[in-house]
Amino acid sequence: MIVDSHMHLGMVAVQASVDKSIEAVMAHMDHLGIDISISTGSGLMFGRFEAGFEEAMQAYRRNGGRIVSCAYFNPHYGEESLKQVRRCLKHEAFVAIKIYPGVGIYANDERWDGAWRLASELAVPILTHSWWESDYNPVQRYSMPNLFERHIKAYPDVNLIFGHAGGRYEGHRVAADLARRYPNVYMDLSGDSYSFGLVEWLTGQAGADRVMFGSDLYMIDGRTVMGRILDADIPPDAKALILGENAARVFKLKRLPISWT
Amino acid sequence: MDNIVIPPEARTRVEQLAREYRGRKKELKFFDGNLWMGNPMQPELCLKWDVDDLLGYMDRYAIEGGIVTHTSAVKEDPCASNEEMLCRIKDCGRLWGGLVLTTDMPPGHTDWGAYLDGALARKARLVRLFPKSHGFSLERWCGGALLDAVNERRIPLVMWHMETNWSAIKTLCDTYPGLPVIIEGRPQKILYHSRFFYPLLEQCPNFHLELHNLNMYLGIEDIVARFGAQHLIFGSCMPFNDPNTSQMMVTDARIDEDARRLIAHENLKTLIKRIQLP
Repeated sequence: MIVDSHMHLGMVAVQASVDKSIEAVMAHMDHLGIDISISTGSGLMFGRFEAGFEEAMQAYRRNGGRIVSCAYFNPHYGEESLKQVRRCLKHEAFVAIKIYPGVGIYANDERWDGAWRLASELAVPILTHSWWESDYNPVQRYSMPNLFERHIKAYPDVNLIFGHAGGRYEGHRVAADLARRYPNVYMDLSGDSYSFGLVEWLTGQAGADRVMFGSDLYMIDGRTVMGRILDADIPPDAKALILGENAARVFKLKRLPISWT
Repeated sequence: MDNIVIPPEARTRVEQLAREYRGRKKELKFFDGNLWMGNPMQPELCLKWDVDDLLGYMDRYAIEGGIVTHTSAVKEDPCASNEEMLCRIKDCGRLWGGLVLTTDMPPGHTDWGAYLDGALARKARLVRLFPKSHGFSLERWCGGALLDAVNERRIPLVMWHMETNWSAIKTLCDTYPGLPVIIEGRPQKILYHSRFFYPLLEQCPNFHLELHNLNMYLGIEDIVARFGAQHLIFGSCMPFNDPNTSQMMVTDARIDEDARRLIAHENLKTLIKRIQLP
């Protein structure tokens, strides 16, 4: 099975729009053989909670559960945001909590504690953006993988997925090191982390059971990631884990794709 | 509800997808405009960057041929590194050369034409410029002599988008309408820039985009539908990057087979055929 563990419904203003409707996304999933996608909608992330919530529910209901979603926690809005996360996670359409330290709060800040406590209470994973210092995108410094270690240690029952696997060379090294040392740490391949041999390297460092396919659609084309997994110099069983089985396990996906029922 | 039980046929399906994908790659005879030799310019996972290593990677990833540039030409000594690269590819039938030039005349030369003709005779087939990193302007008062000579020979001119700006690219395309201009997404991906490059695709027949970091969702399909496939050039940026990044965008794009072949190899080969050789 193939699970896109990191994508987004909606849009972002900086990027001119191709058709990003739920129907277009479904057609793209069918074309690539993706069974289930895990979305964090732009409405949820950018402060249009009700619209984002409704979009997530529609995406789930209209497609036999093939698009599920992450609730989104923004620590700038503390308790109010936690209430929204709770509301989302009452529905089987939601399977995780997404956090994005790039909102300007370092990942080791105590203002993130609420999300970790809630993830522990509700037994859901946390998917986070992760990256390394960037010359042209300074907010990436809030999401460096080493900053997460305090929470990883404090909440061993919460699985953390480093979106983009740390982003760049040094971030990859730190993310893989944390995945090797902590059983609750995973990495996804979404985004534009295209280093030669990355799939093989992450798999060798942390194990194929710690790496996941993700696209970062609506921005990025998932084919840039899928081809690297399909053609990687790793055993077929490792590819199956990375392409979907790890995500099914970690996100506790409940539904089979419609084609299998 | 219980968690998913994954049926055994799911793993068989993954193996089949991998086999089919590798088969599609071979059929497309990729010709790569963005290959590198030398040493990595920053820490990279891949540590083997010799031409022989590169040829091995090309076999492994189903890339038939391409144009290689020396990394030291960007960071250290352009002229000496270009020379080293031309020597290394001399007897290799699958590789052609990418020159890194600045506005300084190469030592021992008095005009750009003679230098470029000499390099073309030794298999150079494109020119790369780094105006920001190397500290020069593309405007006529600064880069005019170099650009005139490159334009006269119709040598494809490659730049990273972060080495210049989109207005300068438009001016360049307008000033030299017969000069193929190819823009690559390095170090930042070309993702947030479509409001710049869509008008360029519409207005400038000589404007091209290379694929290794042109990764917008359904970008290939949208560009081909609006402007045609002739503007897109296959490149991998190997061994910085995994070539599958751009290969699967081509093998699995929802475009017709003619467009797919154009992007995979024909567009760049056509530009090379149009070079005015000495």
